Amino acid sequence: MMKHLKSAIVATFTASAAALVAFPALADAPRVAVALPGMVTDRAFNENIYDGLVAVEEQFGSEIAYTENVSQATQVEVMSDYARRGYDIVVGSGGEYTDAAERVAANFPDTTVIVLNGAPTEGVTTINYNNPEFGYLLGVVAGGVSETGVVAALSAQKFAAFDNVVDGFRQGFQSVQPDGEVLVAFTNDWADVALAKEASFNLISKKADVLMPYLDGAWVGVVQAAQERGVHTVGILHESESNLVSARLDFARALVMAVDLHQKDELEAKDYVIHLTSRDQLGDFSVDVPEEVQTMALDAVEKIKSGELKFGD
Amino acid sequence: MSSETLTDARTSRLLTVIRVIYMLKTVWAVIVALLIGAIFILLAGGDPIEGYTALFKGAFLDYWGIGDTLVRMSPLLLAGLAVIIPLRAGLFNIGAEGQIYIGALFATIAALYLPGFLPGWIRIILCMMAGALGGGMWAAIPGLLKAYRGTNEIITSLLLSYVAIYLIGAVLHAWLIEPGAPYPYSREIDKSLELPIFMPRTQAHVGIMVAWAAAILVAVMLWRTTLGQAIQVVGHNKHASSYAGLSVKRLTVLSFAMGGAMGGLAGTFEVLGLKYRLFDHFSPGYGMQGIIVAFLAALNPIGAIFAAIFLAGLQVGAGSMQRATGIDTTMVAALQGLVVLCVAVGLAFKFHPDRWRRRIAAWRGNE
Repeated sequence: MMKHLKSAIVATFTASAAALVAFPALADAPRVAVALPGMVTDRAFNENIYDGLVAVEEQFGSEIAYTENVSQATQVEVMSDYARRGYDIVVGSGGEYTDAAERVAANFPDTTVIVLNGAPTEGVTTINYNNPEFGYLLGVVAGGVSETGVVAALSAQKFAAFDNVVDGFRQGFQSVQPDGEVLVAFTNDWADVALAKEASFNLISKKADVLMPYLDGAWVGVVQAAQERGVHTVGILHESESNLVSARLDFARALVMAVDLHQKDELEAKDYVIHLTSRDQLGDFSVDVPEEVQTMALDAVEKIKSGELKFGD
Repeated sequence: MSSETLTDARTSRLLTVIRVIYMLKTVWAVIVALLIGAIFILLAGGDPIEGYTALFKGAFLDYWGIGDTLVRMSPLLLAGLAVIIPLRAGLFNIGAEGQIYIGALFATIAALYLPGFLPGWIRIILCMMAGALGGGMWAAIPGLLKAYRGTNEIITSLLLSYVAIYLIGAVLHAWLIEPGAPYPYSREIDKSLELPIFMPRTQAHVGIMVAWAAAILVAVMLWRTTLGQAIQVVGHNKHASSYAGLSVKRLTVLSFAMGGAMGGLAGTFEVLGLKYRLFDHFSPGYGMQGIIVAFLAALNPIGAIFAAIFLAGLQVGAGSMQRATGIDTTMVAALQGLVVLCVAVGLAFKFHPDRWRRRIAAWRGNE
């Protein structure tokens, strides 16, 4: 009997010790909540952030939560509610959360408020990619493939991040085709596939033969229109096999990085800008991209990495 | 007391009880909706008791939840009034959403460009007037088209909403957008123009109280003024009103404009009380939800206060339930739809005392 008892005690102790060694972060893993403007199944921005949230759960043992389709009017309400429920990190997904985040951060000083793809804001951690760098690479590829000398960028709304992507896209495109033209169109809806498709047809009728959607779920409409009319797409918030190439603005990685810094007590309320540092941040080229264009794009990657090509900060 | 008198007294008491049951039909409808919703939650693998506890606690029993409910109530109530006033004149204003947007635009322009030497409270009042004027003028368009061209006001007011929403987008992109903004929004309004908060650390602003006051004023206007009576007479019978000397055309335009002014105020408070900027797509459909408020309140402006609180509480509580229990958002949306459906069905049940008296007499006869 005593032998069994001893065995049980040893087993319990061993199991507990093993658990402590195997999951050191579980005890103090931060609880992380995310407010999303769209659905986590959009295969674009929202899904990317959701993937990051799941990665945080797996990597740190965090309790996670998220709310989809958070409207403008309810951003403060949703983020405040998570803060009140004791979530250590509350994330707003997209620049439209910047204002709400500032207010939530002021009201809940013990909560870390993060905005992905937002503008620098007092009391808030913002994480952005250096958008022109990624836009530039896509512009180079578009310039190498375009036969008409006209390419186009589509988004739902005009705002800083998209403007910066387009600036880089234009520079990249015109580095290959100096007289080329970049058209810009807005659909006013991030998720409306039909509207995006209609806008794409319109741009194609203006001779655009490479389209760059900067949309949530609506990117599908752009790809469909391109396939139907035999033109090309490049991706920036989404990856698709039909793209000539996709730039990976990986907000999942950004979120994991933020939680990691939080764990180390190093996360600050400041603007973090992620630069292009790896070839992997540009996806695979499709078979429609000629070798010489691929070489041009990879050269541009190296120039950006080495600092020879600089954009913004 | 004779047995006949006793029976009459009992019948009368029974009729009163039945009348009260009918009066509470909205409550029964909500209970039925929640019961059906509970089945859905169970099928989705959730716990309905835990979910509903979170819903009601989140909306009505928690300091923060009450703040959120009141904040959500303000535009719903004003949008409800925007529907009620024209509907009292027999006109369907489906375009409160557009009036909210135009009101917000006017209020924002006033807030950004009114001379700074004026005291803050005067500028707030001027912003409110600008917002109400904007909404009123926008709503007057379908009113005018209805009055002088006989155009269907449902179609014109609805389509004008889309015009308004896209117009705000265009104005923001072309003119009002803050340079370098991470989203299409205007510059921030001056701090002195932000509406005071009456529940500390929440967003509950005094615009909520103004909305309550507006509902009371609309009730007084409808039942205690000549204008209100005239509007209701037109609503009952246009031809008789015209025959009685009332200017149906003028009242058509006026009732639409007054409704639009309420919508404009809703937009104004979203800017001055909540966002402090004009955001593209800032309204999640308050205009359309105003129609639900109007029908839940049976076109009674005072009832609209309670209907708006209920609807706002349901929305806030549903969000709270989702965050507390992890019940899927689609389930929350389905629950809201169920409530609206059941309440709408409930409206079809009307109390007819004579029918009930006959039924009671028949039962008594069978005893």
